[in-house]
Amino acid sequence: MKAGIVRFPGSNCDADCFHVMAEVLGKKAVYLWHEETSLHDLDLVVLPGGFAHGDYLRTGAMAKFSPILRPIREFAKRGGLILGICNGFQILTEAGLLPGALLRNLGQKFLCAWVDLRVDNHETPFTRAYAKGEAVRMPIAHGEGRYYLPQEGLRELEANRQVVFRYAEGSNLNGSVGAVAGVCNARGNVMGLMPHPERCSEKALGGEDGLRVFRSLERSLAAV
Amino acid sequence: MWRVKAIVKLKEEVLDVQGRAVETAMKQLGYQDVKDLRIGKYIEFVAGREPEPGALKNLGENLFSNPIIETVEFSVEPGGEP
Repeated sequence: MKAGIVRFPGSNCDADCFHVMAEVLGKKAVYLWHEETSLHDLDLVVLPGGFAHGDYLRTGAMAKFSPILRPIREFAKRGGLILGICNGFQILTEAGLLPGALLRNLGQKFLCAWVDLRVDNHETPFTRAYAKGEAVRMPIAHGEGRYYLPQEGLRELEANRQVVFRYAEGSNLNGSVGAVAGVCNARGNVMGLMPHPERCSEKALGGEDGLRVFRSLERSLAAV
Repeated sequence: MWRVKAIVKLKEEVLDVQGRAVETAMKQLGYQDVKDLRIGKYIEFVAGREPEPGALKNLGENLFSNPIIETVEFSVEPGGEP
């Protein structure tokens, strides 16, 4: 498994993702600057959290014009695996690689908290190491995490099993429609989630429930 | 030279939490008989050539707004320093 972690000006969770890949999992990881025009021989692209382009205009809005998005789109078309965490999720929705949009949190406040999630689809390349409907805990840290999709879109998403993670009862702090915390595209090779699995991949940091996102990917890529 | 102005608004069906917060503050300021406060964005730029509607539509949908959650309206008038 060789992962590329994209850095936009303003990304700040890139090092945490790199740490999980390289030190916790012991896999190859490289950083990709947003102006690069090739993914070389990567088999996983990670869009980390942060404030790409300062979150100016709309969060994730300008990242779609970064040169690296072209090879990323081609990679997605070929079935390549792409994981977007927090700002990465926002970027993927703005780029049209994932459905929906992320809006300002319901209570207007930046939320920094551990939340309870449910794994609603344990059969994606990102979640196969989880059990069906498993309850997990991950931290969120965002001001614009309210997932939004018009009703018909949400129904379609649910019918296609594209909702991967949901906030459990009492944990939908940002007011996401359908308590959606993470979704994948129709094909299942691109996933975005607002919670931070890379911040709960080691016991010492308070929990290890996030590690299995990366273990799932490791397993999915080994099977190829 | 042409001055292009754009107003970006959240779609009606989208909850505007910022607008709601400001409306509450407005009421605290003493303006009780108000409702439906919504906050949008104003963008302006100067163009060297008269913009074509197609170009503005492209700009509006791909950069200035997110069509899933926002609407954008343009107005164009002569003006601006060359």
